[in-house]
Amino acid sequence: MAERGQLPLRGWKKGLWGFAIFLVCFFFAFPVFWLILTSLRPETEVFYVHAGTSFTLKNFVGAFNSHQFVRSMVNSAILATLATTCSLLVTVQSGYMLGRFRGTFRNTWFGFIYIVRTIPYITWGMPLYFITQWMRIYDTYLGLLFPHMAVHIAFFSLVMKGFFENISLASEEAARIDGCSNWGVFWKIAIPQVLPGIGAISLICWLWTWNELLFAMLLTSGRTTLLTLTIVQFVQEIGIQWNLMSAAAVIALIPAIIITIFGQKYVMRGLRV
Amino acid sequence: MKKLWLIILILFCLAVWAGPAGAKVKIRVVYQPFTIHNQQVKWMQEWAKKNTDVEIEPVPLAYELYYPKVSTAIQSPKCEYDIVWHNDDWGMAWIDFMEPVDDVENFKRIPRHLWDVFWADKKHPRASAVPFIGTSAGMFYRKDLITTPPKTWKDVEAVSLKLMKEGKVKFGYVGGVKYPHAYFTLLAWMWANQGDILAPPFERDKEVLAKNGWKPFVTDVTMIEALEFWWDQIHKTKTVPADFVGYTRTAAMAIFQAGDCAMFGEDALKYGDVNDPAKSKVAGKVAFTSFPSGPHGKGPLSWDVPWGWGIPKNIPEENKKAAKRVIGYVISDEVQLDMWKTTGGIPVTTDLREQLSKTDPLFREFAVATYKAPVLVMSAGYYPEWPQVHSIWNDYCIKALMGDKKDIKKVMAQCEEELKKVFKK
Amino acid sequence: MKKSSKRSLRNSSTGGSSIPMGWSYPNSQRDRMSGRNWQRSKNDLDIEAELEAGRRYGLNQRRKFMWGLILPAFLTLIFFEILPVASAFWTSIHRARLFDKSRIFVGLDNYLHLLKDPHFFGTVLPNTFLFTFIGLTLETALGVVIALLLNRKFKGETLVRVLLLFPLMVAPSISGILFSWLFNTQFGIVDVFLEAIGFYRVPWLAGRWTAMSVIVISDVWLWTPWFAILLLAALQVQPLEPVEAARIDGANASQVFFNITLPYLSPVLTICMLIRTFDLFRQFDQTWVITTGGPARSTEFFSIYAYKEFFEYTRYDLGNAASLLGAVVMMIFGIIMYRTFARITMSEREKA
Repeated sequence: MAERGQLPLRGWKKGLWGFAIFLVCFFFAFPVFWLILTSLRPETEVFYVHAGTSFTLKNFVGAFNSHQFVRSMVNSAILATLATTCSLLVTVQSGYMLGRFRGTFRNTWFGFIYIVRTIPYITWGMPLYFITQWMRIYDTYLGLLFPHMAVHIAFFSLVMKGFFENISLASEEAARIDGCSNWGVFWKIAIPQVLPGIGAISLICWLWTWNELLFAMLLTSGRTTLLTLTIVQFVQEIGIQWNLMSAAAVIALIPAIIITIFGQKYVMRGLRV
Repeated sequence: MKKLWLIILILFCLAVWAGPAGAKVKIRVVYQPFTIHNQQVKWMQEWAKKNTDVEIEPVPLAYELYYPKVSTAIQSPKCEYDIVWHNDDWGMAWIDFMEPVDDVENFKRIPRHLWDVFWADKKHPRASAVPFIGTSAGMFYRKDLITTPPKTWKDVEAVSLKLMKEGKVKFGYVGGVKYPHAYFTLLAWMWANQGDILAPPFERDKEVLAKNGWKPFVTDVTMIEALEFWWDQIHKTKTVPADFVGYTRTAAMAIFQAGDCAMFGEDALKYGDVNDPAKSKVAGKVAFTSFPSGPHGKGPLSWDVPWGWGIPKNIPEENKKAAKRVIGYVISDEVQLDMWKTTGGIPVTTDLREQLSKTDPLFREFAVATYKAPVLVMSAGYYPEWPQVHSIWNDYCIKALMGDKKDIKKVMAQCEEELKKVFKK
Repeated sequence: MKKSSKRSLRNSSTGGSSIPMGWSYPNSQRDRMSGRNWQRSKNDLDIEAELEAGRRYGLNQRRKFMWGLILPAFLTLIFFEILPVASAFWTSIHRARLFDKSRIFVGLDNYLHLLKDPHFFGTVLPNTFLFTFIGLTLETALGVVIALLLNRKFKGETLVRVLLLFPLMVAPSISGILFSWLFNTQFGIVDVFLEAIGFYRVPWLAGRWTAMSVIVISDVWLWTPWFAILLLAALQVQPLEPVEAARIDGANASQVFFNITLPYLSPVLTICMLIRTFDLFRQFDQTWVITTGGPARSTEFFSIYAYKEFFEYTRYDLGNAASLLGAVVMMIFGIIMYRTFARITMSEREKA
């Protein structure tokens, strides 16, 4: 077991380390494992998940049959992909501006973004209900797209700034000398160097939009149902249908897991930039 | 760059393209996705199959957001919903925005108390919503363990202690306590003791309440006794679980279904859930009765209040006509009988109720426990501030139950102050 | 804070010798330098300064370029974040109840009402600050510990990392429901386990501090992996010469950690802490699902308070005022924190 700047472990220290790793994995994986277990137990046993041994897949059938489940999955996937793509286009530009320039203009933009991050979602979520209706984009993809983009911008401009600051200027300078325009330098030189970072950010953007609930609740009305909403549907005035809800949550987890495993290596590489 | 903008433009167009197009009258029905509503909407869609000039679009909405979202929608110049699920306690808040619906077919067969006071008042004498199912509540109990249903609080405590000592159950009575589930514990107990949140108790006419200055009644001995009863159950006799004050209806039902408690307060229509062998370990051992009476009470208590369908004012005339036709269908005998059979909800038309009492023994048992109970109360307040008042009252009751027994009066005095502030304009 | 992936650590040659100002290394050699990125950056700054002097591209063109870069972002933020906030502020200075369309101007009355509310000051704000502080401490400490633990090559490394990322894949609202279920006194596995080992069943959600602990635990579960992964990424590219040099000089593990690793991690750590502080302060999803601010409003945070005003009491003016007041508090807090930590978070080139 090689070390990275750390002394190799021997004997009981190695055992302790292994135990610590096990504890970490247990703590973080256990609740998800519990969720999956609950979704596999029949309705009577859902309150005594730990006792009893009957398993069933009926909950998944029930979840799929619930109102517009498949449609909301599709909507969520489309929205997540749309939002990620559009956000990336916009955020990378904004991050580049923050990373490459200095001066009052740039500092104002930085301060603007920093302060915008302090405002809680509900403050601007509620008025958005009225604004999107006024703009006639209520309950459409566009109506959801822009608020999600706003969140992504505020969050990732700062991160992209860090990425851009860490790549060298020399190649850009060389291209400029060769007659490349500002935009050309941006697209052809700067962006290819931060691609891993962009990959990492797109993963996190996608997951955030996939799992988002507040805007989904406020800005839709049946035509553009989203998956998180459908899961919450099982929480009613009259009670919570645990079995169906956990099944729906597990189904929502699957694309997230796939995308995370696939993008995980980009996260590790990209954040290293 | 140009290619990029082209892509963006295409995405933009795709995103905007969500508009519906149809020559039929499209009726959007918004409701909370519960079994009763789902069944009703199913019947609406059945009707639409036979009446092809109307199309039904169901819009289930999470209960969390239902009240504020629909309230905002009905106030906008063109409401996005054509039929809305209307709870009785939202009646006075929505009354200005609802279309009068007493000309709906079968409406005249519905007893007056199922829509008066909350869906009509002096300014709006015509009903502003149509009841489609009667909801009522009471106490489920284990008929294999309890032979005579308890009729007073003392009975409840005694039978709980006895069964717990014999080791047959872990707890006595459970029910929801957290807002807004306290109907079956705190509210039922308060009403069964002739108490209420505003004075005079059981008065629902908001004119009378206004004339009385919206005076709170929460420091009265009736309320204090109810709280002291529950305080004892939590801390002294421990016939209820230790985390009782955080209980939701779901958690309470789970305990009853698992066979861990002897009595369970809930809506009558939960009978299906507690009696289903696929969901409950106590299926076949469940009976139903009214809420027990307190020291100042006049007898076992229940209520008979409806859920209804309302039609907002701000929709096109043809939508209103179509909506009225649909609603007339779902309160017809065919649908109401099916509602009772599949969901356990109580039909709303008088003659159907009488007919079922004669022919169906289970219905008779429920009728006796619910709308034929000795004491009937209207289970909410029918003024616009009710949701707020209910929430504040609930919070203070829980605070009282978590503190010392001698502080209960003090906490409820604070509650009184807080409630007075609500009505001070 | 983040290093170029092209660097190869074994070939580090200059190891920290100072570079004369005004001179820049060719790209390839610069990439092979280790450690002191900030010295390299100083020279980039000079190049840039020359560029920016408008020698080749005039001031106007530069301005146009900057605007072109941020225009889409700017428009989106203006229309979909600033406009709603302005609307929220406008609502908060008028009387706006659900069924009261009067919209009379009341000035700062709503804010005064909040400031005079003993519940807001006595319970809500202390809760929020306490939660933020405890959550931040736990998440940072655990994140650092986990990153250190994982900073080794071992079999099953990828599996452990994926397991660690599980919380990030679950929606915050779902995780809240999950935790409230795990800590349920009758059916939750935690209390079943406690009873099995001889302890008693704790009524988690029935008391202020026990309920708060559940909320803290669920938040730590949800966000520590985020910390851990970012810190791990930084650790994986940590330059090793200072560490090796210190070891040769006889430093033990904890000395290495506190004097070398921790300062190296500070920029990443501080930015993460700043971001998390804001998010902890305005946290809503988990708390709402686990306790709805109960029992008896004792675990309310300011976002819950605002939500309740909005949706339960339908007092929109007070709801908006509460959330804007919270935003102002956070803004002030954020500016203070930024000033304090700015020296550490800025890449060294900014200081030049």
